Amino acid sequence: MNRNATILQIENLGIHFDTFEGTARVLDGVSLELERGDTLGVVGETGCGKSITSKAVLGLLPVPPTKIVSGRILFQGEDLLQKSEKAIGDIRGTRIAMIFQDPMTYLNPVFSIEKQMVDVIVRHSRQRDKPITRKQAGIRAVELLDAVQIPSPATRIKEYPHEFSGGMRQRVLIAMALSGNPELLIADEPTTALDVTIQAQILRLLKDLVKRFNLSILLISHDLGVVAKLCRRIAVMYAGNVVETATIAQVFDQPAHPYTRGLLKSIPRLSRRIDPLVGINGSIPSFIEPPKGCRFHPRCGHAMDICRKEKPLLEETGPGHRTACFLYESSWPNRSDESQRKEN
Amino acid sequence: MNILEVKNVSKHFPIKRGLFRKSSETVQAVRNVSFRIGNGESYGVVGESGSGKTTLARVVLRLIDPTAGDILFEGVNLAQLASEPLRQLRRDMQMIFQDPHSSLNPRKKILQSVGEPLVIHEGMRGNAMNRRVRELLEVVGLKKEHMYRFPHELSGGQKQRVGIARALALNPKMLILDEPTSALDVSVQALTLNFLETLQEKFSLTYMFISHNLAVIRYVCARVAVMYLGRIVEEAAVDTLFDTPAHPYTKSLLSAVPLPESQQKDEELLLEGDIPSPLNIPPGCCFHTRCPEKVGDICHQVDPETIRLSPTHTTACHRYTDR
Repeated sequence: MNRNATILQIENLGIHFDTFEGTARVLDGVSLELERGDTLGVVGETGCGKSITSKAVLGLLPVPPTKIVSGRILFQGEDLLQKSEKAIGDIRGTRIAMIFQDPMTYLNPVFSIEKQMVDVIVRHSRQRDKPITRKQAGIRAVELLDAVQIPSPATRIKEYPHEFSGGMRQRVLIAMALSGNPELLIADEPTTALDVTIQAQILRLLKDLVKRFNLSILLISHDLGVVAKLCRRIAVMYAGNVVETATIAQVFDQPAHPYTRGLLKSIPRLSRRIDPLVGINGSIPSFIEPPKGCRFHPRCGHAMDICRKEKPLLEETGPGHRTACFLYESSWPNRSDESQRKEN
Repeated sequence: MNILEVKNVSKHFPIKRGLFRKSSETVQAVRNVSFRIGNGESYGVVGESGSGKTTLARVVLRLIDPTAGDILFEGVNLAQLASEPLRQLRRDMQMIFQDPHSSLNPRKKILQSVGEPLVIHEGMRGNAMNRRVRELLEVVGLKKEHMYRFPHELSGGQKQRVGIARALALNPKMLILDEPTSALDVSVQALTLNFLETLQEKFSLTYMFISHNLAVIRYVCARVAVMYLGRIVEEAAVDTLFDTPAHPYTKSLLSAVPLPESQQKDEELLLEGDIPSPLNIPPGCCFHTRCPEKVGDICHQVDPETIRLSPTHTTACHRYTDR
């Protein structure tokens, strides 16, 4: 067991894509930390790099065009970026599992659920050096379907993906993800394709599974409501940077970064018709020629001179609350510089 | 004064199978739906996938013919109208679609896309058309240089504005908006919703606003209808519906929405099971298979009538039948 309780630590991760038009700097020094048994939600709008971050953890980004230019991804203290393809393959699916947005894409329509699940379970058992027979795997598969609350699992397991509804397919994928006894579950927009009443069922299920299997979850979502429901901590990303990270209560009640504040003022509320929504003018910047300094400055109402020149650091602005913004002194790259500037 | 009155409209799609394409089953997408929209009103339709909200929008525009029922637009029954007068009437009601990208032709410049209705309906050409397109783009907050761009050069929010400009080209009285902001990020959605609101005031437009997002509906609409399996199960003024919902489905729907707030609801009404297939609608009340508040056997046997709870609040549920 690790001394510290951190299960996943991403440090200063920089990822570039070689594209036809030039190098796209899609991740610009992302740092995240997830403790064992904790739930971290990564939120942000289209193109902020949240899915890229999660795929990087599992080594699912094709190289080339991907170039990992900086940083480390520590999973229980081991740097995943230094591992061989084979070693990553043994971790993927067993110790770190993943569920995705569109469950149909990840199920093969021509094989029964049983065949697909048994294949996965048998492979995972080999990866863990505890091989089991297909018969044993079949029994385990039914148990898992029961754990994800699929009614009459022993009969339904014989069916094919098209006979399952969207919510049921997502349950099957969650069951498959659990089959390797993962320590970390990465869920990339797991409920985005589902209706709201089905989404509520899946979120309830994930919440129960976290407790039951002592899972740690990294949830990627664009929906702050979903993150608030499932997670304890949250990281807000914008254009390849983490701009703020704190507990749910801190982010919703005392948002610090102007982008987070803008985001919260953009969400229509169910409970009441609040003041007019504000929105954020402009659009996400180009990754090939990102704005100098803070990448949010062209859309920020508080932009100062320094924002256009230097990149703010993600530093503590409250207990357990980190923000990358020059409105907070701790984000200044060099505090002595800053005091000099003030004197001038 | 009602601009639109929909009376007992149904739309069934036959499923044709086998060698002789015999229709064996029917999808009952819209079942006996009635509602009115007042002039200048924002009327919301919410429901989950398969509830029939998009089919309803298409029937209202008569993009598809209703199986039964009447659609009165300013007193004219669209369901009976011949194609030429219908074409003329379509100028007054325009549709805005969910995906702004696929509703624009990628090979056409914005000028051509926005100008097309002007060419078709008004026979406009050349400078006159250019001028009108420029005006329209200005109305939706785009610049004249956008006229010569292609859709791929614009962001999602900008493309949605192009869609709106095109819908406005013929000075319609009513816009049918089918999930107009679902493909947009929230920061852009907020701007678009505000913009739709100013637009409505400026041109005294009537909106029929279709969405699966309850919070968006609350923000935009004055009255709301909740659909489930092709039926309107509840209709009320927006505050009544959100603060004191009557139908068990509306209650569970509201309870299922995850709130972006630090204080989470402790109690939630979690619906069991899935939405039944519209091919095979349960007998009795269509919601009885999932309903947490069934009153008895009647729910399994009799489809509830629509009951008026107050002058502006109706629901179709046996819990209220005795009143």
